[in-house]
Amino acid sequence: MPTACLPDVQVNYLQLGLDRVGAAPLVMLHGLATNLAFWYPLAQVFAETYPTTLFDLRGHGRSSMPLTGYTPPALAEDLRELLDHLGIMRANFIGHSFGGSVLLCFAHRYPERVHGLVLADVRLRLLQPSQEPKAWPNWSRLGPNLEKVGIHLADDEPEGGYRLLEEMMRWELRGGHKSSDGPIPKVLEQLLPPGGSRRTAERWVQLLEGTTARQEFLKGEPMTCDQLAQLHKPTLAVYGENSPTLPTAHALKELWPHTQFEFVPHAGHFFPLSKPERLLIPAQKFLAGCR
Amino acid sequence: MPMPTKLEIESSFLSILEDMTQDWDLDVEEITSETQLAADLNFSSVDIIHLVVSTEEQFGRKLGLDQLLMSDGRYVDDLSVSQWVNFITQKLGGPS
Repeated sequence: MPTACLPDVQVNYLQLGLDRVGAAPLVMLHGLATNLAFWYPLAQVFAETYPTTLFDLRGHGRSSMPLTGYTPPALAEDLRELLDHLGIMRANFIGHSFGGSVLLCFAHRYPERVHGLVLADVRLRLLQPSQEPKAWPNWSRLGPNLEKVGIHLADDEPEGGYRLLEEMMRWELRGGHKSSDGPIPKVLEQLLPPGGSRRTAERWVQLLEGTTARQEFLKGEPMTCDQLAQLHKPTLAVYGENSPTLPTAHALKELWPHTQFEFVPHAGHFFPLSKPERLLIPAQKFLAGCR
Repeated sequence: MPMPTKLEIESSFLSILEDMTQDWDLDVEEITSETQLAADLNFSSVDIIHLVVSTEEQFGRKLGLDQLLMSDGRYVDDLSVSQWVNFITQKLGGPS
């Protein structure tokens, strides 16, 4: 896969469907502790219609891991530099989870470069400052199952999502599925980024322990609610019905009456891979109208 | 261009794997047809996508490798070198 040598980071990327001349480009951003492979299955379908670009965020996948530069606005600058490098002046974007937070920082700073936005299960600190497990729709089922595999997560942990991700990755490094006596409850399987591996988990721990990423991820989006409300871009927002990010969805609904919302039944945070059609179908319809 | 034999395909594929993993700290002494990519070579999902791109570049055509990698829209757990080589051989039109 090609690498873009940007001023202070090397970004691994992949472009599909480049022969789709005339269609608006599509750029896809993955979330934390995963990589561009998260989007690969869906990107294959989108690339039948749109020139589609996937890339690994700084510190993820096969991109380099500089010591700093992991706040959402800093990662939005990586995106801008990558687009400049690829000659993409304006595009549609899809962002999952933290990738969506980066995307909104980008759209806030460079609105002229955005046709439309698809947000998939995005939590914004601006609208959802804490993420305590006790408020999660499936916590009563999830908490006991976590305890069974030796993961204790306090139900009032303000950064429950990040803590859970880190604990799941450390569990994977301890042997994960292989260390368990029986099959892993589905509720836990849904917590691991799909396509994960020991190598991905090692890299995640290295990122948290060897860089400033842990503190920088928590910086949030440098904008006000008014500024977010002013971001008049065609937007589709899709959320899992069991996801801890739902408070963001409800706050966005108030803020953006123009936005189309979809809620995926019986789905958690990683529904773009567990139920890809629930993102694909509305996104294709939405993108067809974004020109 | 003559159709590569299965042995030639395997040799090319092993070269790609060796290039990719030469700097990795692995316990595996030699990559063979039985080697599993995730379990033995510690491949992550992005490494698999890199392997897809490198393999298609090597053979100069699209090989539809996503049919091998995915089942019901999800990545399969793991694949051996021989499963990759058989699939590539079949796609290139040779006996698997």
